[in-house]
Amino acid sequence: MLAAVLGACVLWPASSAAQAPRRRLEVSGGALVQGGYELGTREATLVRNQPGGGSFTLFRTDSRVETAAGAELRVAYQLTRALAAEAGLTWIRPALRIRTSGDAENAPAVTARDRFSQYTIEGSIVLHLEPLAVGGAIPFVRAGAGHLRQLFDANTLVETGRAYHIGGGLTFWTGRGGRRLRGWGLRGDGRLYVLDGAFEVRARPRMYGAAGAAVIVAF
Amino acid sequence: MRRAAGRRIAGRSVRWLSVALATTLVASDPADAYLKLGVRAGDRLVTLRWSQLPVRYFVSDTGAPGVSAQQFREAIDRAFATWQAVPTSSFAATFAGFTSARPQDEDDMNVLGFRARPELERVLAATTFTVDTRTGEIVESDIFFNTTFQWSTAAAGETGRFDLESIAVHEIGHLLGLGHSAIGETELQPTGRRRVIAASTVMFPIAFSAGSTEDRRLKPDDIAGASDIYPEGRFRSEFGSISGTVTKNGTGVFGAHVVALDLRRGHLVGNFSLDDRGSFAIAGLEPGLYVLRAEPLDDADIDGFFEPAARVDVDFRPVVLDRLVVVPRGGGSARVDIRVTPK
Repeated sequence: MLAAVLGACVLWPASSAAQAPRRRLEVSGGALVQGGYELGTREATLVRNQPGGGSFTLFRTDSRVETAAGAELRVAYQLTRALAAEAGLTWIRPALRIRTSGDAENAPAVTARDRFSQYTIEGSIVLHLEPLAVGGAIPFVRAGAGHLRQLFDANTLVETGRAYHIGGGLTFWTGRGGRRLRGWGLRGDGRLYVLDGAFEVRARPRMYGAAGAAVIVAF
Repeated sequence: MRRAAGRRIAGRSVRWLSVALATTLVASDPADAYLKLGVRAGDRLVTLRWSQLPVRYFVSDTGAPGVSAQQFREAIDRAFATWQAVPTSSFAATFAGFTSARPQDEDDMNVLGFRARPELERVLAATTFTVDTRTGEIVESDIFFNTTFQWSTAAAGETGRFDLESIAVHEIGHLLGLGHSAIGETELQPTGRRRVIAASTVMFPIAFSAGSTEDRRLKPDDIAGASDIYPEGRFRSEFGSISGTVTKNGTGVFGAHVVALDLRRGHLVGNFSLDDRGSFAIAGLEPGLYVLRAEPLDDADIDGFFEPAARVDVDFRPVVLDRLVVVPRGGGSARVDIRVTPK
């Protein structure tokens, strides 16, 4: 059913009231907000001196990457009027927050916070849904994957991983140009990321959301 | 530590040193990244290590009640193999044969065996050295296991008997040059003795209870220490270190125990602040993010770690550093200052 709807959107001509300019390339740049996510708990444990062993917790840590703002740049090549292949680069500088607690000898609980830089290079497939346009806003959906790089402490430590995303948004074409500059507008979108690798406390995928707002130019 | 009169061999100055399971070690140089055994040569500290590997060891041909000579040899072989299996360490040893010589005889042989030492009622085993005090080269090392205690080589351990392989792993750690580690918690008993609640290093100075086989397995702290003394291959280029100071009211704290927790792997590796500026260094750390904790040395007798003259400060509260520490590959962290407060 979904394939049929998407197929209809690709092939159905949109009304002239909400049409994207005919274009080969789109370049967009703007701001990005990445949501925070939990990394998990790590306990400093000793082996108990008892039959069967068991753990003795010296202290406990809870780690989280906090919400942060950044920037992104995207370049899309139109394969068809509706379908595009897109490359994107995002940069963000979130804080890693570690909270320690439960010390066996009552050391005070502390919170350590350290910022790191994160770059993502990703590729996506974007499907513009012009037949579903409402009031000049053309919806689109996007899915893709990329390579993620986290840099800590003046780049002395590098962690890498893979980020998979799916999402969608709206494009508002606000102006039209001539032969070279075909048009310009605004784009807003939301995404859900699944992160594998990079810095982790527990070896398991993490999910976080992101939202972007960008200026878009068509050539 | 008990020091006998020095003796000369072939023009070298050598000294006989003893390290028991619960006795003193000489503090190593603050620039060293692990508490290692050392000797004072004039005004400098020299770390003990074997300059020639593999170490050839002999095993006593006399067993003990419940342990035959062959069983003893097999347990010793397994204990040496445990240290040799550390991929980042080049330490190696080889069995050279049975001997009627006793450990602690000065015979130019590295002998492991049993001895009856009823006067050492708290000493399960002890390691002795003959060293070249100019270079720190270990010339000879013996290990005795005290027959005052009951021993076992059973695969799963035996209730009421100390696991010989576990104790051997600890003593062989001394043989290769490691000092005691303080990653453990103890409780004071009515008898005035300390009992281990938990530990995360085979080099803790107080053994687990009779019947436990836990110390057959090396922990990250032990592996880091052995690799630091005998680095193998790309150890120095693949692992990193943390350094800094422990201070109290602006003054360095000597003898503070600092432990680094690897957030990704959960490994614990520790060391001490080893000078009056409170300087410490923890090496053999995998690249990553760490949380540091400093505590006073109050879970074992101080003379199990430092020579009696050392002015170890235990008057401060445990503290966790309120910033993350980044260990890069093949390098050191930015220096950290851990500030502690008096009790």
